[in-house]
Amino acid sequence: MNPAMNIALKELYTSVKSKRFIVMMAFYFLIFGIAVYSTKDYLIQMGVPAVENNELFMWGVSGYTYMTPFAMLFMINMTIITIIGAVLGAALGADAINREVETGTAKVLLGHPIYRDEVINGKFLGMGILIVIVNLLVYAMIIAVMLIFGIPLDGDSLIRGFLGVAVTILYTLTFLSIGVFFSTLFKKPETSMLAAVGLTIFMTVFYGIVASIIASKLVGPAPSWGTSSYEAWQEARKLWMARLHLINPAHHYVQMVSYIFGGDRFVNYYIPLGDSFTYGFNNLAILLVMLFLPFAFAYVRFMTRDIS
Amino acid sequence: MSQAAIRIENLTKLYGRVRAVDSLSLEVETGEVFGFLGPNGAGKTTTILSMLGLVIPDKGRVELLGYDITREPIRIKERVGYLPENATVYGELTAWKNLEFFANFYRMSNTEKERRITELLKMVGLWEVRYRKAKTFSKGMKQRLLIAQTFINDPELLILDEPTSGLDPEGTRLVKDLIRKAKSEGKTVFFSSHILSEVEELSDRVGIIVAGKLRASGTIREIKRKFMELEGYEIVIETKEPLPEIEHTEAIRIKKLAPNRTVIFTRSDIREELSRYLTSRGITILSLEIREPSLEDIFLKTIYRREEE
Repeated sequence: MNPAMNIALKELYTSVKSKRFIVMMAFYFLIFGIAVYSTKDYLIQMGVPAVENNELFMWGVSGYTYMTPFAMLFMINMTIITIIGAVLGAALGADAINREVETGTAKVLLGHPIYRDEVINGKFLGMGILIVIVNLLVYAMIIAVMLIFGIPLDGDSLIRGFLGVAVTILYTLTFLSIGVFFSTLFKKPETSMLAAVGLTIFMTVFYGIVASIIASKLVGPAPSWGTSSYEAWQEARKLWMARLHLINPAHHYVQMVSYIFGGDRFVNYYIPLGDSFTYGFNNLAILLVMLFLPFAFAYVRFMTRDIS
Repeated sequence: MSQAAIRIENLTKLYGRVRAVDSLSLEVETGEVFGFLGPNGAGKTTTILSMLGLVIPDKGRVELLGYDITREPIRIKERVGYLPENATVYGELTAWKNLEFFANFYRMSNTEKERRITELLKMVGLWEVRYRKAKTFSKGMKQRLLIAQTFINDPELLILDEPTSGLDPEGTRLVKDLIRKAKSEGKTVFFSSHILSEVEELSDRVGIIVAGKLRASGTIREIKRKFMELEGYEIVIETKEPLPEIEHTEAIRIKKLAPNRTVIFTRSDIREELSRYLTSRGITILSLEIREPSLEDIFLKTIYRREEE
């Protein structure tokens, strides 16, 4: 067996059985269940879908969405996944390397014919597979919920949902990558776990508030409401918010999903998928950079460090 | 002449300003059991970790089984069994799964894998608990499982770092038997320890490392001889009649234990001259022998000398 695959399968096996994974999944299902329960009547009686203005201030995203029942359920799920998915990714990776070094299993492992890069690749691959499985499961669950409640499904939404899942996987992997990087940065697994989960919660929950405060400070006091200078002030503030959100993976993820389910008010339908990806190209590119950059740093650190 | 299984040249490893290993060179012949002795913090583990490429040395090179560890690590590790110190197995996996995981790194058929795992689990006495998660094992059981993984690839060269640490007497005997068995099969064993009796009992040759430097190496006999040449001899004489006054230029100190029993501390072996001298004086020699230093004496003296330096 390929050594990296051997490690990946071991990681997958142990991660699925880990307490942190079980707790996170239970927490996710609980919140998703509550969300479905509280919106099911609205979804059932929704009627003809319409293009709606969707404001997600927390992640600095706003735009028009073609709100089919599926799109709505997916968006509800997205708001949960933006936080829980990120925490899951970070938590899975945050002690991937330093735990092995601390317990001494890294020495045992590297005493066998395996290159160091195969160890880090194998670990990432194993946890990555788990993230893919979880996301596909969630996608299947959304469809199942709709079928159970007899909510109408349409093919276009399903395809867009599938693309949304692909972006969700990319987003979760980004936090996995950050977690793995932290596991090579800190000696103690507890420290790296705390730092990675702390940073993730900050970026997905509080960063929007912090960015809003900083942007307001940067553009100065607001002029009187309704004046042209107020509009200019608001534009400047928006620009700063957008700049500040550049480093936030949650912003790029939510923005990308918004584009995928983006609506055209004139035709009252989805914008073409090609347009969605054209608008979201930067977000997708930044997410990819955010995925590979921490992993590259982790890679270099692990390859050059002493295992003692 | 047999090929060296281990060749270390001028190995140096620094941790900040501390020289954990300092210009260490040594060779271990194929089929030899080499005991690597040293007090805690002497550099034994760092040397071993450098041998396997787990620690990147600042200077020097290591060759195992004729290959350079930096260039051919996989080729080497396919033929080496390594037992680290202060390590553990994967707690979430069962004993069987642990060994299966490590076996997957080698080119083995499934049948061969199963046969090997069964053999090893029986060998280390964990067969009955093979489906139990390793995290439920005692420290000794985990160490046994670690020992088993060392042998998963039927290695030609065994590198064991404190192999008996954490083991009960039965486990210790198992390790000793495994080292003896490996030697009888022509395998090379390099093991570190600070248990002198263990090293003396098992090793063909010994190396003593203190503060990163190799202070002595060779067979135990050679080390003892060198030590005596350096530190002097202790000649014990027992005679039938009381001993007369002995004067010799090589004698450093004479200690009378009884009227007919004396210890002479000398710079060289003067037994022949002593024997001739006493016989010419009509004294019957009951015994005349050199009291050899124990490995413990040598070890402690070597450390003590380092502290004096």
